Amino acid sequence: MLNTFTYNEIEYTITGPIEVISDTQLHVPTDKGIILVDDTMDIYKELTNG
Amino acid sequence: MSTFNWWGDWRPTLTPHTGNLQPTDLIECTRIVGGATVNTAITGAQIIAASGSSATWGGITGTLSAQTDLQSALNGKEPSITAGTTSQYYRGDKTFQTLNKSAVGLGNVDNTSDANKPVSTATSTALGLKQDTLVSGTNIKTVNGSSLLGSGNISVNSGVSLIAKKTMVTQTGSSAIVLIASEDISSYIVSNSMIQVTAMYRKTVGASNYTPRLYVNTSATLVGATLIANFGTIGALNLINDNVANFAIDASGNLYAPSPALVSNTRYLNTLAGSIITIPSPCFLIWAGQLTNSADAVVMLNSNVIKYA
Repeated sequence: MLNTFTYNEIEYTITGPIEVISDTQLHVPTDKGIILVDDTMDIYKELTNG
Repeated sequence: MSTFNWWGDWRPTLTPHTGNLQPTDLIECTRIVGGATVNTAITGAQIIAASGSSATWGGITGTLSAQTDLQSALNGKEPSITAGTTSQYYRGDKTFQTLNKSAVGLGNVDNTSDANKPVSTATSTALGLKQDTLVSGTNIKTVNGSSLLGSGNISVNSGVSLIAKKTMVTQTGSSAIVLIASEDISSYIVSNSMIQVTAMYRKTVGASNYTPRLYVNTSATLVGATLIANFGTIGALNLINDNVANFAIDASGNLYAPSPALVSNTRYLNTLAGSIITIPSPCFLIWAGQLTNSADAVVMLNSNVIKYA
């Protein structure tokens, strides 16, 4: 499972289970806090296997 | 000079006198002409004219004491003045006196330059009653470290600043997390401070749950934002909740947030580990929330962001 991703040149390490907020949003716990990931971000598809 | 013989003719009436020769005096004299004596009369005016208008020096004979007119004139003169000294002056009373400042009525003058003149006792006393030059922190206090000196208004730093105030923001129409307000708080991010966010919400339509949240991001968008707080969930219609979240900022610019993965109800923080978040730059604070039923509505009644220095 993917455990790191980069957004805005910042690398995040996923540290826990991902919370699905809605059809387009996730809460991803990382080493830099819980990040709101939506379907406009590349990582969204990877995390949702979409 | 014409001559004529008085005798046989007439003689004027003359009155003898013993004073000085007068032009009107008449003097009879005898002279010898051709062996014969001839009487002649000479007027005083003729003698005066012949000798000049007055006596000349060197032409006066006799002793000085005999010159009564001259002596009288000399007696009317000032006696010789015995010289004084260069530090004296000759006073009107014909005496030499010391020439000093008192002699000209300036006994109090001491030749002090204007720049060095002392002030009067009265002036000195008055000045002594005046406030010394104000030196901030020395003889005038400061207000929370701010000097009172200078012009303009003083910004009193009480240590507490209201960063932002949001009122009556309504959220409707989406089950996703929706941004309802934002504020750039970059200028308020300082080391070793605390930021407190208070917020009150009221459920105005429907009975589905609503969870208000706080995020930070580099811009006013939820995409990629970092969750820093979950407020208490409200569901029932007209329910009002009151929330407080505190965030500490350390000397390195990290923000310490209460554990946002869990919902913290009003004024309570959960006991799980919180998050240490690198504060984005710029730093936007974002109010957002999620309505589980998109037909419902909720109002953020009021939210204040306060910084404690």
